[in-house]
Amino acid sequence: MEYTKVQEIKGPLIVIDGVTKASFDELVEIETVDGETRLGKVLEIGFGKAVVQVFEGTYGLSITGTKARFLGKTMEMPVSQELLGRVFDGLGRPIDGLPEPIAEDFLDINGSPINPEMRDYPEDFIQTGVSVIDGMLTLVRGQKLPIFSGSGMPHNTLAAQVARQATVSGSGEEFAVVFNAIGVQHGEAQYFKRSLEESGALRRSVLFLNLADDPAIERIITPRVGLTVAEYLAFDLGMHVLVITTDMTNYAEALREISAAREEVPGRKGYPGYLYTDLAMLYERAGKVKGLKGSITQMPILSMPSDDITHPIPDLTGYITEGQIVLSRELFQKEVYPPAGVLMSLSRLMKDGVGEGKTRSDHMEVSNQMYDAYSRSQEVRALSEIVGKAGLTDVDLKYLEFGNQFEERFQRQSDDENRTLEETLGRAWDVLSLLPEGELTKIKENYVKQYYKAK
Amino acid sequence: MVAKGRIVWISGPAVKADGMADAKIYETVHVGESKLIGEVIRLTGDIAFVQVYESTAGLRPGEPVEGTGKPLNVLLGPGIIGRIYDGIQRPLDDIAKRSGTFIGKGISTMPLDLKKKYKFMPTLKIGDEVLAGSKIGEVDETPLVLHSIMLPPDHPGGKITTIEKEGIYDLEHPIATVQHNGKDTEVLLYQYSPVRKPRPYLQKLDPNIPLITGQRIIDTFFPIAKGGTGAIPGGFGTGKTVTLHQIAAWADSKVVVYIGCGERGNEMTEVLRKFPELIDPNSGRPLMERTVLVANTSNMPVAAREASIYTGVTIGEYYRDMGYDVVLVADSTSRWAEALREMSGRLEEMPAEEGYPSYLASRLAEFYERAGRVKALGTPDRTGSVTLVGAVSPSGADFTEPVTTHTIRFIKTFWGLDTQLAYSRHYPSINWMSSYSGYLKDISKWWIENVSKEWYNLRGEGYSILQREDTLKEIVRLLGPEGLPEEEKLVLEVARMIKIGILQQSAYDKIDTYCVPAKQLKLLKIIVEFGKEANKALKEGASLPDITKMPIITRLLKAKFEIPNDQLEKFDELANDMIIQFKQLTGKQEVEH
Amino acid sequence: MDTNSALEQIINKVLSQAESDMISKIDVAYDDAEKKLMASKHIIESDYNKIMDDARKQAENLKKQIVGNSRLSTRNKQLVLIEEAVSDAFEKAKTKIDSVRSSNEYVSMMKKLLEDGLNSINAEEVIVECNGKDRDVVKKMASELGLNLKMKINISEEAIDVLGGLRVMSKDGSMVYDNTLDSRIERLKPIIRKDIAIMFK
Repeated sequence: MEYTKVQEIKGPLIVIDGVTKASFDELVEIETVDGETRLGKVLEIGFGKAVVQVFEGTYGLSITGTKARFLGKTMEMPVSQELLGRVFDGLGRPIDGLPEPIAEDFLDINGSPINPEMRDYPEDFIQTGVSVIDGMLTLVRGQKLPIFSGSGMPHNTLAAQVARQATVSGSGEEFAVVFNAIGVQHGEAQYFKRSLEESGALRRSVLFLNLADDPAIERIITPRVGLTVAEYLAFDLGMHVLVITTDMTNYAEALREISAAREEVPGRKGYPGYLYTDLAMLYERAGKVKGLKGSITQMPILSMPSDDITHPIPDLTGYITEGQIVLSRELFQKEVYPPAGVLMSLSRLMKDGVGEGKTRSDHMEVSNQMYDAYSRSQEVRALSEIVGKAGLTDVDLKYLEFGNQFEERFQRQSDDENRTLEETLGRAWDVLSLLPEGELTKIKENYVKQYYKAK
Repeated sequence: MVAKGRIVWISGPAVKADGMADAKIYETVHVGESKLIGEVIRLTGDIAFVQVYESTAGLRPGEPVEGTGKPLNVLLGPGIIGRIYDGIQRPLDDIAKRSGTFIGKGISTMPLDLKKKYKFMPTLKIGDEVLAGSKIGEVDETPLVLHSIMLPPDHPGGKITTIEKEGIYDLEHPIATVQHNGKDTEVLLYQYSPVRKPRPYLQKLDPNIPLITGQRIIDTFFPIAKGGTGAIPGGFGTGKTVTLHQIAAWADSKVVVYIGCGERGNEMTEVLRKFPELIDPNSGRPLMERTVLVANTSNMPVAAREASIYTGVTIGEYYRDMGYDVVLVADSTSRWAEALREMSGRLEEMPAEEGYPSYLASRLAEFYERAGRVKALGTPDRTGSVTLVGAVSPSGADFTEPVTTHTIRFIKTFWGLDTQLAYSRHYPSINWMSSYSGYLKDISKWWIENVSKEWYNLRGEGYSILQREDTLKEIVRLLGPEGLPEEEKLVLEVARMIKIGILQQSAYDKIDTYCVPAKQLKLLKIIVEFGKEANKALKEGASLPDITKMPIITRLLKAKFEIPNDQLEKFDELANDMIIQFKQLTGKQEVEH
Repeated sequence: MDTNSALEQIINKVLSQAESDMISKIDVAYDDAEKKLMASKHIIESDYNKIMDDARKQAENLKKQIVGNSRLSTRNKQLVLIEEAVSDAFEKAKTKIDSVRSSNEYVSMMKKLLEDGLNSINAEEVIVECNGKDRDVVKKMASELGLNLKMKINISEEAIDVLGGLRVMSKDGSMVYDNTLDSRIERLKPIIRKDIAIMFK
């Protein structure tokens, strides 16, 4: 059904009058006077009025001559295995010069919540080849582990490295990458594409690109389209899918824009009160399901405005995700790559993904000891700035050295260096061996005997 | 007469319907052709404002809305324990049977399996007088929970005219008949209870028995009473959920209701996987046999999240009425408050702070008021309790935000989680300076009678060391440790021992995860004694570096891992060795060669 | 014993001493050299292995890249071919419509399309648009249906450029129900494409 009585255009919304047949969340095709078509969806319907959010923005729309076609369904994404190796825009339309995909199925991009009863607990180790992640912030299949970053920091380099290097144990497992770019610059999107191409991984990747100069409201759709494809690859085709989404801050800003246009009561910093729920609808689409082979692991990236971790976007994200990798401005300035600040970072599911039979039996204890010692080394560093090195005890000095070597030998690596787990743990023991044996209180005696490198 | 109206407006979970003049406020309604479940939350003229507990995508104006004549309620009877429900008591396993991996729409299910048979044992006989809430018999629900069959609280009471013999019956079998004023009513094995109204009781009692959680910083330093209220606020990554899981796992209550309210799906999976494997230290049975889960995760419909808290607490009150101690853990009340905010926004109500409705405080108060140790209605005398523990997720870890500040007004135990402690991996990251317990005095009698006369004083001594350390730390921050006299440096050392040896507790260590009260006392005692002995040694001329090098220290710090709950005599040996080492230090005893 | 033989003995002794010294020195030197050799061999080997490893890794990456990308481009060519075939099939189907326009099936379909549109708009007065070839059929059906439904149905004078089917709109044009074959095919296209594509696999 098509309606032409546009009553109001405000921000990304148009209000259409005289609508008798439309449903909540229905997909709408808007035709401008010039015959251009745009997509939108119903945000509110009733008393003859439909409030429609236009994904490509309302720029150039007019009260007269605009047509709105209600398509009788919610927005759907065509899915098939042939989506792998393809590049789409932020609404899921091909931009690689190839034809529209021929769909095996059409899926509602909003998905449905996974029944908690049907979830399978994530506990399979994913090796990323990055020491600080594998050693101390272990990623497991079905986890959602975001990167909290700041402007100018190498979050995309790190995410691309993880996408290239990630391997899972067990041969014959099919692995795929879904990359959602939300409001990123052209160069960043190209970097990802090239990085996947050069490692031959493009063939098992699907890219959705909403670039910085693409319509802002489209950003609401991009992650949903990407996750819908990920769900199909994972739960229908049995693949292990890694979803990388960058940058969630742009997503939240688009959400804020719509909320403001609807004149909703804002929560913190002008973001809508439902930001938490809305983000959860995306992040909770990660997981593993009983009886099905595949999994969805999410690595969303967000830049913290002014490096502020208490800003609503990182804050609410941290409450939903299973840990976070926080990039540290200080390490970045020291040119340590990857500049993950381990003390503020955490992988909640690590405890279930490491150890005997998964990685190595001393892994968890080594990690705990590394945290403990690095935390102590930071205290000593701060203290040495007050009292000078002369005021430090012998043990303190060893911690100081530990802290330095932790960053240099363990954490620092190049962005094309793919370390094995043995190497990562070996380096961990190298730096732990800088401390007196008696300081290793978190590691069982037999592991200390086996791995501690006495001088 | 039930209301029959039509949808006129839809926006997310909020729907307006006209022709609803016959609807009652808080009545459950069926919305649309697919019969989504909703609840009337406001009436204006013949327009009802309905919050819908399922996704409204695809719903159109003109579709029907039909009243049910009943308020939102839960079905209470044998079969609740061990299950996992959504926010409106739909069993998630039944939903999975209907719609598979993902949660479908318009699925109506029975919360209990009415065909399942249970063994019933009458506790009364024909001719006995009964009152509202009286217990008439028992059913073996799980090996851990003996389920009392009670008259509903709104039953007029009367005389039993029929009652079944001991035997196996399904839930629909009329189990007894009660005559009141010449009229017979059937009693079944189940009953309905509205969720938004507290279940009535006879009398509230003082909460003076501690809830033992086996967590040292809670039981020893900031205890909560059975029937009490407590809140755990903390930023993300501070270990809220682990702490709540620990309380749910180890608390010495008969029944645990765990509400996952707007939280992670995988956390529910973790409970579902872990609890059947964990063994209740008091009974030796799997913990799942006493646990009910209400799971409305963050991606499930937001209105049902609002309801989940009430569903959970009503179930808790029902087991309380049987005379059981119930612990209810709600993770997180902030997400519940956000659901409230979202519905309030759609209702276009005037917002108070940060967009929350002005009635946020009163709703929180009403919820926490449902905690308590009570004497149940009817016969025989039964005393039960509901302890409420709510997680709070303050935005930006800022404890001055509305949900935290209002919650603090209505709870008596406050466990403040600290981001800095979590960053340095001190778990549980409960900050000992900002936390408090309003039950300390009330429950100290229990400790003195059941554990030791010394408890109250020892706790005080231990805590004062932590307080002194807090002041001294300021000086160290400015001047470095060298600015302190030896005696004060010793305080820092003893405080460090309390932090590592007592306050830090590993949820993942087989022995440390649960610590019995007697062990808590012995740990505290031996470290406080160490402090006293060390102080004495210092005065007698021993040097502080010699004291801090004493081999006994590592053993004291590892005692929490190494001395199991059932081998507490090992503390005597430890205390002996400690005294010997001090004697050697001060030269009162020759070093043995 | 003469001095000579004594001398000889001494010389012999010295010589044998020197010899054994020398031998032991040589032994030590040999050992040393061997040790050094072994040590450097170890280093060389690890260097060698590293170079080989790196090269192997690079080669593997290159192989992955080449294999991956060539498979991808083959697949992409295939996608284009399928698409061409699908478009062909569509075009052929469209040209067939004219040949069935006069059949009973077509007329009864047109009637359904019109009823559908009238019910959806549901106003007292409506306008119907169609192409020139269908105009007479539509006019006839409209007058019958208009009486039944008590609706005033105006057939637009202007023919629209469509394959077939019709469009119903409210008098003021604010509501339009597009029931042309073109839009119906467009709506069904994704599903039809799949059916066609299967035939090419």
